[in-house]
Amino acid sequence: MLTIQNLHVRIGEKEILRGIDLTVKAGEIHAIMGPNGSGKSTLSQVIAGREDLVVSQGSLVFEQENLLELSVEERARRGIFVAFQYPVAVPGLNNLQFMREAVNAQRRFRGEKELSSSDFLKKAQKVMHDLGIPQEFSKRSLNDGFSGGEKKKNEILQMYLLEPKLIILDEIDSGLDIDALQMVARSVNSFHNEKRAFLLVTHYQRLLHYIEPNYVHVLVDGKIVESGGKELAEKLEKHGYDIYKNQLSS
Amino acid sequence: MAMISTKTNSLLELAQFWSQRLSPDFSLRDHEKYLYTPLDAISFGISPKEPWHRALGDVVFHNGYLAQGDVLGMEDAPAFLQEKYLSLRQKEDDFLCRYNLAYSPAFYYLPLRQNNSKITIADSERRHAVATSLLCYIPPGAEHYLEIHNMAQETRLSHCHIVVFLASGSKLQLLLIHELDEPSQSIVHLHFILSVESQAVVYDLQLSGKLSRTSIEADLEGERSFFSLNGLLLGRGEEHRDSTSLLIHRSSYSESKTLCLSLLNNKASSAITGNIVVEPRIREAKAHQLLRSLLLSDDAKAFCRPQLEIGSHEVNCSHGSSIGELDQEALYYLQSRGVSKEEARQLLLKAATAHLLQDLAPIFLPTTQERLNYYLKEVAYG
Repeated sequence: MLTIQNLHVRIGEKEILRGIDLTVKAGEIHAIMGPNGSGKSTLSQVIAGREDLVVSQGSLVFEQENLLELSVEERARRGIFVAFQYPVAVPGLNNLQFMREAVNAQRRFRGEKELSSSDFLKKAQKVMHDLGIPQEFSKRSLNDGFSGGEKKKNEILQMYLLEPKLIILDEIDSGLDIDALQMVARSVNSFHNEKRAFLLVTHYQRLLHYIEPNYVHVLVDGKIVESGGKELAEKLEKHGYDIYKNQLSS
Repeated sequence: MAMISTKTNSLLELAQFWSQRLSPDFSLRDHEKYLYTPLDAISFGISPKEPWHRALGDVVFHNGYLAQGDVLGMEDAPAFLQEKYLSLRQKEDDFLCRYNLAYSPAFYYLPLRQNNSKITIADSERRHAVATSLLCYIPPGAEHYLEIHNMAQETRLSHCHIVVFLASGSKLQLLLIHELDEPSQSIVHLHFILSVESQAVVYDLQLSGKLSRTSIEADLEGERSFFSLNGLLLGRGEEHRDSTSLLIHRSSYSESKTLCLSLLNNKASSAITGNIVVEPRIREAKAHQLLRSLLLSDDAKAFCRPQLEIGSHEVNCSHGSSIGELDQEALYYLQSRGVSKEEARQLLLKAATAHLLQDLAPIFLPTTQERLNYYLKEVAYG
């Protein structure tokens, strides 16, 4: 589904990613773990297509298409979804109205008929009910006045409504209490199937107690320094990231 | 400078007045400094040497009380209104409006007996310039919704001067829409006189046309009177928008709110001047003013000038101004969900207007919603 080869990315003059190789197949769950400033969020954002990130080397291919030639929205329409670490608040833009615009933009791209307001409302209300998200979310402005936990739930709601193929959860666990974390994890697990792939970006192992990854990758200083199964996360929990930093500095 | 009487109505007198205005000694630049507006475009768009057939715009009073073409002179208005209006005219210092008023030989007097009215100012004969004067009186305790639609087409200049008297305890919500074709220019001067406990809420939507300008003067003469101005100025291409307001608190416990927002793309420009005056010895007046501009292109220009002149100690006043661009993080976030950059811009522009229009009376929604969506899209796409 997603193939990343020798990816180098910089912001301005500073190189953030320094040769990433990663292959994600449909149905797989990959966890990207690493310390602060290692480049985890940059990896998420470069896949999403953030314009101020410059790819200086390497390739990024999603379902046989070169992502580097596609704009942010074109990538989203092909099924790439990033749940933001800090979702943006837009006062005055109704949450559900925005989601309908987004869903219909993607439906238009796929050549499907747009959903009417009432059809979309029914669908959204059912999803909110199933996820245990209060119906008042539909009346509020996009992420405006939302708590950290509510913002993350709203990202999950968007994920359900947009039905993407590749889902990147950028520190979805940050700022969540244990109940909210469990809710998010339950939602992710029930959304996961053999056609969808997940990339979980996180600092901590605690998210992986609830969502079991097939692969864990350790990202330090812009490079994947080790890959393995879920046991790698346990190792990190015990020893931290210092062993990798020491290796790189030596 | 020669004063123009409201009784001035001969073409000869008007032409003479016009020639004086074109003399080399007449400095438009002083005025420009005040408004930040390229007034040459307004003032010299019409040459006195060109023929002009009639000077009065077509006013359609949709409630049917006045038929199109009906003109009632000032002599039909209550005497105290005539007196009041003439005294106000003497005090006007905005000579551009006075100068354009020279076109207007008569007034429409609108005794607003129903609780809502809609007036369309058009120019069916597509003349070079039209001018229209309206005098509105809201009786004591009445509540009124007034919609004024200035929609000149292929007209170089449409000027409208509206005076509204709000009697004690009356309430008015006024929706003013400038919607012109590309070459046309529109100037509307609104003057409000608010009596005790009266309220006026104005929505000024400047949507299209080469140049539009709303000039508002509000005299909060009665205690506990309230005035609110909500201005939305949309510009694209090389259009220019202008909002100038002068709100004078002449009585204690009066309150005013000003919120103006311009959204500009391409080479469009806007000038927003907000002036709040609180006269000496006025107690517990409240005045809040916020002027904002969002630029969608590097070539768009915005000027904002918030001003307070506080003559009293017991007041609660604030003012602010900002000029910026659309939030790039928000734009990226919306795009990451699959909407195009232009659609995302449109959504953000609509969001920016939400606060401004949140209290718009439902009676105005049929007029505004589709129009706003259309013009916001035009601005977003540029």
